[in-house]
Amino acid sequence: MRGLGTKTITTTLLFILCSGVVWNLELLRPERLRNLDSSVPFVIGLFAFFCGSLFFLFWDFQTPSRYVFQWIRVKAMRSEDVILLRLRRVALIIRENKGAKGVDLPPTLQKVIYQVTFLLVGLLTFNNRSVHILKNLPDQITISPSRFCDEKKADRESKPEKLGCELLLRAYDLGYAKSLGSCAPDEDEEVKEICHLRREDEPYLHYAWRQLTDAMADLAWVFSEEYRKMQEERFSGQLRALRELFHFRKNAITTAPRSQHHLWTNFPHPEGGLISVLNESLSPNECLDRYARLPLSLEDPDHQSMSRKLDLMMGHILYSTRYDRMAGYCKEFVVHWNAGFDACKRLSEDPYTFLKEQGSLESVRDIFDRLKIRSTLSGLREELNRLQSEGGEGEHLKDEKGFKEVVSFQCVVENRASNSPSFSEQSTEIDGHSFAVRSLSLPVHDDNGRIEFRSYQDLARLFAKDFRYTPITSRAKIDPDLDEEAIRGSLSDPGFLLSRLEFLRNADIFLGHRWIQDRPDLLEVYPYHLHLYRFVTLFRESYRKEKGRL
Amino acid sequence: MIALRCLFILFLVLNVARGWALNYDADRREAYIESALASLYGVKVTTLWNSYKYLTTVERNECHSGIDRLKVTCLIEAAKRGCSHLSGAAKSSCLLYSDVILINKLGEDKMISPRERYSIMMEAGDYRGRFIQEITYLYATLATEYGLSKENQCEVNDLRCFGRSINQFCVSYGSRNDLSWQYCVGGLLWFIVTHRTER
Repeated sequence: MRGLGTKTITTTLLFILCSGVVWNLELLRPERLRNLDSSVPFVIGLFAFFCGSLFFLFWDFQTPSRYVFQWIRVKAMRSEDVILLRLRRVALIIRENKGAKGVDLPPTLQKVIYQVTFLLVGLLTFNNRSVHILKNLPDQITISPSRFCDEKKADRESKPEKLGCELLLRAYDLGYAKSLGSCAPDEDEEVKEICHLRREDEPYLHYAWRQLTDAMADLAWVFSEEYRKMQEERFSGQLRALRELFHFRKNAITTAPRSQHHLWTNFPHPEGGLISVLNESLSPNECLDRYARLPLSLEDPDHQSMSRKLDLMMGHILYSTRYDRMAGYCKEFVVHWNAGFDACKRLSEDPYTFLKEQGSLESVRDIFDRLKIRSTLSGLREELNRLQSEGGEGEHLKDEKGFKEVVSFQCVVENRASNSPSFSEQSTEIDGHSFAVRSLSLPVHDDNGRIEFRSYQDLARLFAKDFRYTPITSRAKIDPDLDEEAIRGSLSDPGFLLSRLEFLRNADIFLGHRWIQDRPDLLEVYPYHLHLYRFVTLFRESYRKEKGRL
Repeated sequence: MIALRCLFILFLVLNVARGWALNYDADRREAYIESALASLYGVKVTTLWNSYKYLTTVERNECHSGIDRLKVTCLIEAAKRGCSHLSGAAKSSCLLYSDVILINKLGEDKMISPRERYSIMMEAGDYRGRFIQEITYLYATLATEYGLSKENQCEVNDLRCFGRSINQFCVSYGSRNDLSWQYCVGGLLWFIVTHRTER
């Protein structure tokens, strides 16, 4: 039995494989073929012709196969035969095709089969989209302009921009002027950074050589003694500050508080102790949701208690996100309800005992620790930057926050005996740092415990000492004739109810016009967004100058 | 149907003319909105646009002022003069819809910021037309919000229900979206009436 040539076997198997794949993927469906662009069959045909022909020539299919596959009786096997499969009496072997006795397909047929095979490969690889990409390839092979030096910008920068010098420069260029005089470039002009990218007229090989030499220089620097020493100093510096680095990362990951601001008040808790404990334990981020949805109306009938009003005021001026960037993070403001009248006095006299009783000493000390860690790491960063810039000056760092900016203590006490608010200030010292303890005595006039709108100003001044809200800063236009009587009179006239409400726009409730508080009907339609927004925005600007977060 | 509507308007405007709306509590506001809606429905859209043009002209000329109090007072007087040739129920109705037109005029500058007005002026050939188109878009947005709100559960001809629902909607919408109550009411009423479909 004559063997079958390996070339024939390969040809057949490749053809069957490609046919199988194409059939399985249904690439020969008439609908698909009809949807092909006109260029796609051309590309496939061209690909099949060239690849098939080249493959045929390269693999020398014109000559018979050098080896043959043959089924042979075991007895007829020779020593040089390679056994692929051996059964009892017959074996499948590969044998050298001596004398070209093996059976091979005619070369022409093999060539055709390969071209058909590559036709099938073309069908697999080329479609409308791929041919479109190939067509657009020359346009896409453009080198990004960002890899070139911007010489136009350099030209613009190199020209001095001194006023009135254009004429003199032109005269100098033409030789009419012998010197530039005051229009000459300054001697102490900053050295422009050298552009290491490719120049417009630079040959690519030259650019490549430059890149290579730069890379070799960098590599030499990395293996140098100086680099080793620098890295050693960097490492030892970081090792010394290992504790600080660890705590810095830990604080960031655990979102530890970045400030601590305490407020003691003798008002009762707005929700009652048990409810608040449950809320805090089950919903630690409850304050974020609550203050994001604050009612705009300052006289919300659901918020009648003084405690709720204080909470509402603080929410508006400090936490609410509807106005501006938050001034404070509600989880870092601790309000101690039901505190005694003398809370701030006790704090100033014996801060450690008092804060320990309140359970706040540790949290305050945590902030102190964070500040110290930050200070240590700032020093380390300066040192590392100095090393990085090879002995030059380190990067200039931003001013660090002080202790007084991230920790503060204040009190708000109810004062039914007085008609006007009053401030007092004491000082206290904790771990060597002195703090001002400000107190606000808030008058409460009504039996209902209503807080005046004026209280917003007072509370704002408690947190930001220098905050002032005046008619100049208000959005209410200054109109000397628009007093209470004028507005009342206008609003009481019959007719034009909608238009007459315009008079309220210039009645800033934070600057007086207390009579509006006696009119719940007007409060429902009062344009809070105008004046409250302005008030809160100005307060937060002032507050951020005095206090902040790490 | 038209006769019934006229009687209804007469009833409402007479109540208003008695100096009913001396304060701004919820009941009064709802009744006022109801009567304003009735008066707007009782008038042709062309009449409304004519009143709008008249008040626009007055606002740009004799009532032009930097002092809001003077401007508003002047415009109210001008609107009253514009209705002085009428009498009885027609006059009361005119005063009501003039109030709606007036508050929309006063609110236009506040609802479209100076920057937006400047860009409209630079881009559009017909500034006034484009400006009115922008305002209409804002009113349409407002009306859409109202249409989808929980307050809007009124039958088509139930003006009392509309008065209540528009009032409640504008109180809560203004609180959430920094829009004055009166602009919300004026914008809604204007859009609802000028874009109504005749049945």
